[in-house]
Amino acid sequence: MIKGWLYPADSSARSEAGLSTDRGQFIVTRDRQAPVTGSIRELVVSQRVGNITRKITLPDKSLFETTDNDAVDALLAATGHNALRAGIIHILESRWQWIALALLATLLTGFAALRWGMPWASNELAFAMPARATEIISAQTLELLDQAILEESALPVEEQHRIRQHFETTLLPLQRENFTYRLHFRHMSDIPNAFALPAGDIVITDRLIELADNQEEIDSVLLHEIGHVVHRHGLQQVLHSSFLTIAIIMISGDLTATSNIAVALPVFLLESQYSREHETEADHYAFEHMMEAGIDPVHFSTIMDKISSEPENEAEDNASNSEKRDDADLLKYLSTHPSTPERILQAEKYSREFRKRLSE
Amino acid sequence: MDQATRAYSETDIQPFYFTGTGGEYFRIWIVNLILSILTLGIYSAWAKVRTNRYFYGNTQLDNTGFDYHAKPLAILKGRLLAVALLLVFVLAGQIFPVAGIAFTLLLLLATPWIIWKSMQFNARMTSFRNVRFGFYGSLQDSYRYLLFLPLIPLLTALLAGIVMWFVTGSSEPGPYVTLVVLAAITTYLMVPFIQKAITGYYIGNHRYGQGLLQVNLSTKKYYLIYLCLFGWSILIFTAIILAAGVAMFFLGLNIASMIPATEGELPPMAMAPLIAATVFMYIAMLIAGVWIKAYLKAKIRNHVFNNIQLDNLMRLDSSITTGRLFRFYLVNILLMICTLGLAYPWIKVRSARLMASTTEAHMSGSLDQYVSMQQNRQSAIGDEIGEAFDVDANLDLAF
Repeated sequence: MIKGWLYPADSSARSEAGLSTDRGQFIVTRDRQAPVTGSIRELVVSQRVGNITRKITLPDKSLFETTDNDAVDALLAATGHNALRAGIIHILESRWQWIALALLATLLTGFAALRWGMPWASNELAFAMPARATEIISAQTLELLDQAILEESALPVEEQHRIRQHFETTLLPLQRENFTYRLHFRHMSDIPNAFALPAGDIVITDRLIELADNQEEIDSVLLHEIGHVVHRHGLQQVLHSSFLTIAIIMISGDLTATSNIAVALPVFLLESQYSREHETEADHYAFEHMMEAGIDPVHFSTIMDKISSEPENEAEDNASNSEKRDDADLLKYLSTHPSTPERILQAEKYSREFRKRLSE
Repeated sequence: MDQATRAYSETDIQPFYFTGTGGEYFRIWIVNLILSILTLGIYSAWAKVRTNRYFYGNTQLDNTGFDYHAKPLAILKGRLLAVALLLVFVLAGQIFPVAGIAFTLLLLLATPWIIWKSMQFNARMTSFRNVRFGFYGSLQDSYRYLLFLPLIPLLTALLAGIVMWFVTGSSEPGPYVTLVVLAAITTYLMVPFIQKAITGYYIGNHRYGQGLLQVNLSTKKYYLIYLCLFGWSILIFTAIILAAGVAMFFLGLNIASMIPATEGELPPMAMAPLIAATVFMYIAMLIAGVWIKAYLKAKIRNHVFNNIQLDNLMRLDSSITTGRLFRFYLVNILLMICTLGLAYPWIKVRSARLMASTTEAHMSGSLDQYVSMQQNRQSAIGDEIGEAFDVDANLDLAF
């Protein structure tokens, strides 16, 4: 007999009771009261979770509860009750082999989703995004940046015109993808910078043009930005960080989780890694198209060198000196761009290749 | 003595206790996780029910546990809607910052409704000794306490600003800035009062069967708690900053005197004390933050629980201390870091055990007379949206 409590339907009044079975019938007995009986098939048995109190609802809606889970399971097994099927989850939760397998599978899927799943999905979606959507995104972003950090270019109009002319006649024919590129000149408080928006808007700052000693250096930067557009890096990053945010919210069940340092740091590292891969990809795009246009890739290394020796980039540059190797390694993980010496090295490699081809 | 005036005699003290174990919950948790992954999130609704049943069921009083009755399909429906909304929210926020702001405002407006639905659902899905709980607070009150009350200072300032503009026609920013600052200060000063009002609304509108849950909170007590907290915080933060300053002073002097000055440039070693002091300050501030959280939670929980009663039959007694909660939080953080999050199930169980073991019920009779009340069917939509957007009615009071 299974010992427990019996409650009348919807009531908290309880009395000690016992449940036993006899040829397909159940019998609930209480002190000084007539036993309740009925068919075992009519019993509704709650699913077992761990070892919490088991609830058995009788046909008259009264409730029998007991802590003797094993006895209830034995009763179900002996009578072939249909609640038996639902017990499979509890069996999964009770065997250590299954637990070990579940743990391993969880860790593996988590890793695979981060390493391959999300980048793959971001890439596919970015290329499937309709042109109209990218137009809206780019226009909105540029407007916002204009309000926040960008000012009108102080460059003479003739100079702007000349660079744009060159951009359209020399660089654009190099790319075969269907984008409408627009070149924007802006002032950004003396910071040398250039960036691309998904629809093909490329923004270049006055300071960068000032730093460049010749057209080839500007070209190398512009080709790098075209590389970002062609590979749809901007969209991919938006999608990637959206996926990451959603995944974290789903796992932790907490919207504010992303502002928690323990969560924010790994997310930041992941996104930086992702961003560095994109920079390298855009660099290669630039090198290959420079060679095609007959521009020595060494110009890219020249302009990178100049940008990194600007005052606000000094810290980063210092850290990459060889005597601070450890710091540099650490910074590598924090940086959204590959280290400048690394990129210059790549440019020089391409440059050697370029000169070899010239001499042949 | 908060309870000195209670008009009934206490006959029986029953402790709450938690009977689950970390190992047992770990197994449930990991199976939930992998099945949720394999079913692309669908199983998560079933997982939620199992998790809640585990924690409710193991939280026991007088030889029986609580129970959670939500149907996984109802939760799944709510969850799908919530995920769709969340997707729109995150994507819109990333692509169009303006849409993100609009959505946030909309969410703010909907919050009282979401919480109201969520309270109804959760109360209705909870039972103890075969009798369901219920929540009978009005939607109007939900908007009053959650939205209107906290916005009063800002709305007043806005109104005053408009009047001022019409009367004086002045476009100088000075007076308007003063108004905004005043509104902000008033809002902060109102926090204890608002928290008390919201807690009273949540708990006071709950029922156990036909029984009424009452809670008599004292505004004065809330302000006293916050005032003490404010005092302690100032003391602690001053101490940390002073300690860091003194440490930096001595370390800095020692190291600087050991290194011969190179021309112009600061030797890299000179940075060491600065970095050490910064790291020390950061860690000390984090720990101080944990202590503040523990202090507030312990004091508020004790005050609230000590003033809850069910009819004239039962009252609660909570005796958690700041020190105990503080140690508990610190151990949790260490466990989470050392195990890369795998200790999460043990932490949840530890938490449930701590909360149950510091709570007692003082009974003056038996709970035999309660009967479940009939209520309309409940949808889990409010609850799930609330959960997805972290606007659940979590008052840090629950078990």
